[in-house]
Amino acid sequence: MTDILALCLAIILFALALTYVRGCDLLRGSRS
Amino acid sequence: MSLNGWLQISLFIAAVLLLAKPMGSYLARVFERRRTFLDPLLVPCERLLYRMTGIKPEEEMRWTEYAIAMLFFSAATLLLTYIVERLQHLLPLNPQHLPAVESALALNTAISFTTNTNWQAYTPESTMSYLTQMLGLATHNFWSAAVGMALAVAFVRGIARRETKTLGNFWVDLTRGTLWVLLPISIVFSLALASQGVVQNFRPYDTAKLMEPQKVTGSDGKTTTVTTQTIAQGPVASQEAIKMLGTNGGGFFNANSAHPFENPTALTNFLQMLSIFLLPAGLAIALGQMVGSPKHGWAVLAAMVVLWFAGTFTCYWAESQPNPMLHGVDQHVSMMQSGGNMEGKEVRFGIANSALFATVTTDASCGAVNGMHDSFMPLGGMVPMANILLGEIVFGGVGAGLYGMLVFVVLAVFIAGLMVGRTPEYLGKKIEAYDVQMAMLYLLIFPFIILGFSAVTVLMPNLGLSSLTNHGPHGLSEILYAYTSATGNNGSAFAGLNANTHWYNYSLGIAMFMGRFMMIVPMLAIAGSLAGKKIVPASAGTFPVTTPLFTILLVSVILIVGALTFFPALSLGPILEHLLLRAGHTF
Repeated sequence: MTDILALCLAIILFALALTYVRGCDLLRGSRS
Repeated sequence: MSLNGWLQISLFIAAVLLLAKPMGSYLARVFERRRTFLDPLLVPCERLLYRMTGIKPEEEMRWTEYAIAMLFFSAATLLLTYIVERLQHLLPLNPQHLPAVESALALNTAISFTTNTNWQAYTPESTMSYLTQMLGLATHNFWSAAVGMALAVAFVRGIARRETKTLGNFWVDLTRGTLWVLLPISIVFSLALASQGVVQNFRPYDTAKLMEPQKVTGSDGKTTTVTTQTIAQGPVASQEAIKMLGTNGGGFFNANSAHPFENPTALTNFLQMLSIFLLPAGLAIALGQMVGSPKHGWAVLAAMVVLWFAGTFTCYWAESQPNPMLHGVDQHVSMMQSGGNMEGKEVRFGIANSALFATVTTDASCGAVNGMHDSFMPLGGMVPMANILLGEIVFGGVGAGLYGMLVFVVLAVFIAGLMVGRTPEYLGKKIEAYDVQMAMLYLLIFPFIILGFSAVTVLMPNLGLSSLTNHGPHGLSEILYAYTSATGNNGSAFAGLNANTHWYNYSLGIAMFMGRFMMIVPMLAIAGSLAGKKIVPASAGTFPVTTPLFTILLVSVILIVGALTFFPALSLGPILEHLLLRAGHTF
């Protein structure tokens, strides 16, 4: 159970990081 | 302070500066895929790796592709470390029969080593098997440093290239950084360390009989007599080399580089400090060569040296002062004693080399320690914390220091442009709104994580404050240092804080993750933006980035941004503690 919690947290963090990449890219797109 | 101490410090920085140019030239050749003397040996290995993994080295990546490749690589290696930690009791090379690492600690450690932080909320010799140390942790010492170098090189390409969308190939940069730079230097360095007495074996721990039995009172109040001491062993030399060279800092033993098996002599101490600065100094010179302006590399390196000196001087001065609480005790330097504050320091290193090590390890994002920062005088302990709070751009971590410094360069050039009323330019590239937005995002995320987590933690008596062993401003310093060290991906501990709790393991894990990846992304976005720009010819109004004026402006921007952001927190921690110590209060 604790492994699932730890791995879920890691997945959420990486998913947020990928979204963040997309967000920073979109911000540039919206300015050009 | 003594002349002897200053001579040793001068020798250290002279060695760094002497090695910077050859190291920088070599790094530039490696990442520009020019010929090096190691090619006959390593090119076949490189080709084999690409063939096995299906990598096409000629394929270029946009900044988003580069970032995503880096994130997937980090996720895969983080998972590997987590699995190894959780299954170590079933795996070989565990002569002490250590159990599986608890899940929250395993995640914290996996994030810690993936992000080049090497924060250790555990005692390595009683927690990690030899296999975990090698396969789970030492591998990350190579990978995370190689990732840092790849990212810095991608940023430099963004500056050097014109009207292109790509920054290189992440997998090629990762492979070449590991094969051409980290592995060869680590092998030579490991042998040098082993020659000085750093251990390298797979033996079970030794047990020594004490000459004098010791009475020890446990937390339950019971007194027992101890007659033996366990002496931990392990493959230390091979891990120690990359620990320092890759600015990782995670010790094989709990005492880190204060342990005589990790750092036995004055020579190993000197080499360890030198290896921390070797690649960051070389990368600054490589920057100059890769963008076609060697003087710019030296100007950036000069800013690093100025800030390094300020930290070293302050720390050495603070640690050399007599402790005002020890009335009537002779604390002056003499032939018989070091003088000043020797608490938490190794006699074989003394005050100068402990203060220098503390400054160097926190200027860079290393985090190895040869003395306990918690035992430094308040202002001496403030220096390591302030170094990390500045963003670890004073030499900095391998790669991370350079790209962090380049974000400050973008900001400095922007401010210079504002002062003269011109569109700011950096090496012929116009700095526009998007670049400054990303630079500010990079700079603001850092204090947001540190101060946010610290503030939440001090408001929670059961989860946060119960782990403290000191109260008052010193307790605040311990919490602030922990989140600073985690977010800055430094990994050194102030000590005095029991961080192996669920709250600290998870919150510090999140801080390490955000401090690494949430700062890399805007940095790469700037690089991608710069790569797509045209080169504007220099004119009379262009702000030169090769002069002492540029170095002064860069140092000023770094200090002003750092001071404005963190001065209130520092004033409630180490500065208040310093003033109260003078008034006779300790914590």
